Amino acid sequence: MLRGELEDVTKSYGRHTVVRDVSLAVGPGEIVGLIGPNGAGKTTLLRLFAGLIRPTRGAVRIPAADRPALVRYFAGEHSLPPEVRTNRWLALWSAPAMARADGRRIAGTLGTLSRGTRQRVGLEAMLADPDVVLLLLDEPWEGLDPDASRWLSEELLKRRAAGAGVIVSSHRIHDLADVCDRCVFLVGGRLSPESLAAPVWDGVGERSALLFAAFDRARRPR
Amino acid sequence: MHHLSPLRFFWVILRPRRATMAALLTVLVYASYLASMSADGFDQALSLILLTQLIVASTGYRDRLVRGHFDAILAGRRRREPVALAHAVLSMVPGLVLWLTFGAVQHLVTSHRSIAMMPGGLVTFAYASVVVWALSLRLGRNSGGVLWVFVAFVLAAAGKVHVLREAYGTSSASLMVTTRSIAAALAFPLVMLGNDGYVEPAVLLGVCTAAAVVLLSGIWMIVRFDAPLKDPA
Repeated sequence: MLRGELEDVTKSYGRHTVVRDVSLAVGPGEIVGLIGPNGAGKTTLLRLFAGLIRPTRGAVRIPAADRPALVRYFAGEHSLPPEVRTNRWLALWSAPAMARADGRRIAGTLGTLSRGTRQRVGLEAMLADPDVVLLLLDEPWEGLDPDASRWLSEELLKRRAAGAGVIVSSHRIHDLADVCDRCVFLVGGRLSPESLAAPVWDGVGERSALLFAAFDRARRPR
Repeated sequence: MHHLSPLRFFWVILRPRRATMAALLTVLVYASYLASMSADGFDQALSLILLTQLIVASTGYRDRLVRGHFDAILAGRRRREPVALAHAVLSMVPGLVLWLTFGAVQHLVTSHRSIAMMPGGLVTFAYASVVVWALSLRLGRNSGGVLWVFVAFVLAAAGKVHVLREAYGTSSASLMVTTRSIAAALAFPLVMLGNDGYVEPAVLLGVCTAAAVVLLSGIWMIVRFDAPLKDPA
């Protein structure tokens, strides 16, 4: 059973079309990487999947929509409410309280944390529930230190093993190459026919080089 | 599985800051002082608390929605009505606690009934709260209260408050009188706190209906909001 699906979806704001005729599905136990230049419509695409915005045309199907606890979306640390205390935010999502390197618990409001710590807190909260079936992450590695980046990649692989569908948008192609089963390219609001799936890169040492080359092909005018 | 209710989410998100709590406590103390000074003091105190609620209940929605602050509770949700209702309720709770606390104090201190607890007082409070909440949904935090206070000042400066008080009759002798009373109460709800808090049932019904319509409009706005995420830069 699919975890989420967009069918011929177009999203416009007034005369400006952000996403055009996109069809994309994510299955159980699958991690899909979403790659595209700035302004390509990646965030809009993820927000359509999350049901946060409505398509102008087309259909969005989220099988778990009757149970919102099954869908998690994180737009990045800037989307966290800065005046909320960190421990309260984590408790809201039943996430364990985080500690600094020196073992002290992180205190204060979300707005007082460093960018990287805020990003980690946001991800910890969204990844706290092991039963999530659709996970949508927008630039999740942004601002993370190497340890946190590794933690995130491992968490994504755990979610995949648990049967969740995951869509990750990122500019960090080497991180995507490590975890994704396939990658799709969004250019100018359209999905490029160019896409790469794990069978293509299995056994290939330089996955990220392969992805970079495919991304270049996807951006080339047709 | 962790199911988060909208009420619990907004309980955390809309929780007043310490400075706001201190301000609310100060208002309560000052209102009690006003009430203890003279017979008119209770009316002044209630007006002060209502004015505070106009600001506090204007929590705003759209400006925080486009920053992504509500993404976590809205993601994957087919129906947004429970989210909208929870937002409305928790926007009004701090002022409601203040209003009821003062009402209880008034009830204990004086031997007669508290206007704050009478139907007229409660409807005045509910109507004013729901209007500023709905106004602020699109305009931003505190905007509903500021706008209404501005309109009240304009009415006062133009000498229209007296006209509204006159228009607000206490007798429902005719449909015309009742309609005028309802219109006056909707434009300037403080008139309902006069006459020792007695409000004609027909006027109460009219103002309650208006409050319900405004509440439903606010819920509809939240359900329909569809805006792109604001660029954090």
